[in-house]
Amino acid sequence: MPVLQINNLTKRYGKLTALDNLNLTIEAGNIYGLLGPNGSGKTTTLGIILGILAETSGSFEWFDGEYGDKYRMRIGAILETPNFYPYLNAQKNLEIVQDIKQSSGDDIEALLTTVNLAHRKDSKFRTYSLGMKQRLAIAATLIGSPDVVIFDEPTNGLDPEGIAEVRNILRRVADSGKTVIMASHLLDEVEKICSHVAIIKDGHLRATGEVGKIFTDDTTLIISSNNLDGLKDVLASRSYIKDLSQLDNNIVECQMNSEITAEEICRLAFDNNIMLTRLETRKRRLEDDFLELTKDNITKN
Amino acid sequence: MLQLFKTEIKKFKDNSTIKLLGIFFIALTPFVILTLKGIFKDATGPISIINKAISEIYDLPMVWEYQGYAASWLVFFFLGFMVLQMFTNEVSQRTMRQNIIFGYTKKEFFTAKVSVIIFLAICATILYALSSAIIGMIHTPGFDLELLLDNNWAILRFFISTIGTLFFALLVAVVFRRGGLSMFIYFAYPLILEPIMRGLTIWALIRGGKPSWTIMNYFPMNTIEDLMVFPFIRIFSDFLNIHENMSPVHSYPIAIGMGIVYTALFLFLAWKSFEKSDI
Repeated sequence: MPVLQINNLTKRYGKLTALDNLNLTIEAGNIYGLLGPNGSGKTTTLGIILGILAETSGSFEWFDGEYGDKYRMRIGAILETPNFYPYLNAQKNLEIVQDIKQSSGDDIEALLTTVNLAHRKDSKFRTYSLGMKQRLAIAATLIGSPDVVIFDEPTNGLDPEGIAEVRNILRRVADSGKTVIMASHLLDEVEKICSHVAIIKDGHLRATGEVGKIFTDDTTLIISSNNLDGLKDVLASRSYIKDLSQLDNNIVECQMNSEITAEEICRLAFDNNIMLTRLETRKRRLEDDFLELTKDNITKN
Repeated sequence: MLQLFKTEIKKFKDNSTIKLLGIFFIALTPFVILTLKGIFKDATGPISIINKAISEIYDLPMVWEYQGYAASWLVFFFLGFMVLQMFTNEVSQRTMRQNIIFGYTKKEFFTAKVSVIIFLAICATILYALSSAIIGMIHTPGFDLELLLDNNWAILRFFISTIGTLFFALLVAVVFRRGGLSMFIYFAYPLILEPIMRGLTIWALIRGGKPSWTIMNYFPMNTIEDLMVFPFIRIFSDFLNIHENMSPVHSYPIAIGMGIVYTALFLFLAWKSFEKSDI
């Protein structure tokens, strides 16, 4: 069942199109990553679906319209930096969130323990480090037991220890069965946390789907032989070989499924009386996929 | 609305600037006109006449006017500043945006602010009424209850003046959003910009051969000020009205009517501006 349906969403600031006809469906229980470089339209998308930015055109619907304009009560979200009353402590800030969400059943003490802040619950927000602020923000998103939690660049500006801590907390949140939407420009973060991904660049949706399908784990083969034409014919006839191309006079590059090993390619050549003079495998990296998906813009830039 | 109000109080009760402004207002309101007595109490010679004149401002029913005039300036400076702070802080600390993300609708967020303004206006009016009554009771020779009830329309006028001033502060904060800019506009508009606009309007009318002094009374903040105008100006205005058919100050019924209209207009414009804006 979709928790969020986005249809042809567009946002323009004067002549600048921040978001261009975005279509996206987010299913319940998924951990969805909105991935894109800075300024790609991720935060604009989140701003619109959270009702703090007005869309220029298009529409979106939460929970099939079940909660009307009270849909935000079922969502816990933090956009960009964590914003709380700086002169209030964690406990009082969370009590205000509780009031806004009209929720009374939350154990604030337990929430603060979950995010490792119980020991600083009486300290004013302005005295917190960035990591502590981020953890308080996560606790705030969990008030009222929302169906969906949204995080925007949750590890931005944190040190490695802070990043690890926040990621652990996010994983625990995800494991609790909630739908998680997370905007990030960090591929590694999306790969480690998310089950699904939508790649956005310059306000356009470039790709969307399961992380495993969008980011392939194909292997790249670099092969040379004394019988290059024969080798090409043999490889081209195999379904697990993709994108065969000749790099040089006697070098061929191709992609192959990760289930096929280099030994099997070696045996294939041997069985066809072809002598290999070079066989090199390279694992395709996540970054390559990401760059490929956003390639035309990179060229433009 | 009560729940919105309670949440709003939770937000600001620990804010030191807002607390300080509240304390100053509460501490100054009952005593500000009494300080005049202290300044001239040892006056001798011709200045002693001032001391005599001042002693009459504490008598009922005149105390309602003098105390109201002084308290309305304190409302303008302290409570108006408090309203500006309450809104612009939410913008600059981005808690307004976060409140909306957490689940408030724009209407709820705005209503919460309005509820606090109404609360402040009620508290200020109670403080004004109590302090005026006590000062009057202490100073009026031959005090009786009838004297206390005389001129108590002043309480209504003070309430409208207070809520009008505070809604004006809300409008400025909603439109300009940034703390410094809002503060500048809030203080500069009634003290500098509107007097200039009034002067230019009269000048234009004189040049056009249709002088009308009363038109300047209809400017918004002038109307609000006329609800609690300095009593001497009121007496002077009544005199001019009788002898020259010219009135630099609204009559009370018109001031009350116009004050309500402008208060409603400030609130309406503040809401419309807030409703349309991105958070």
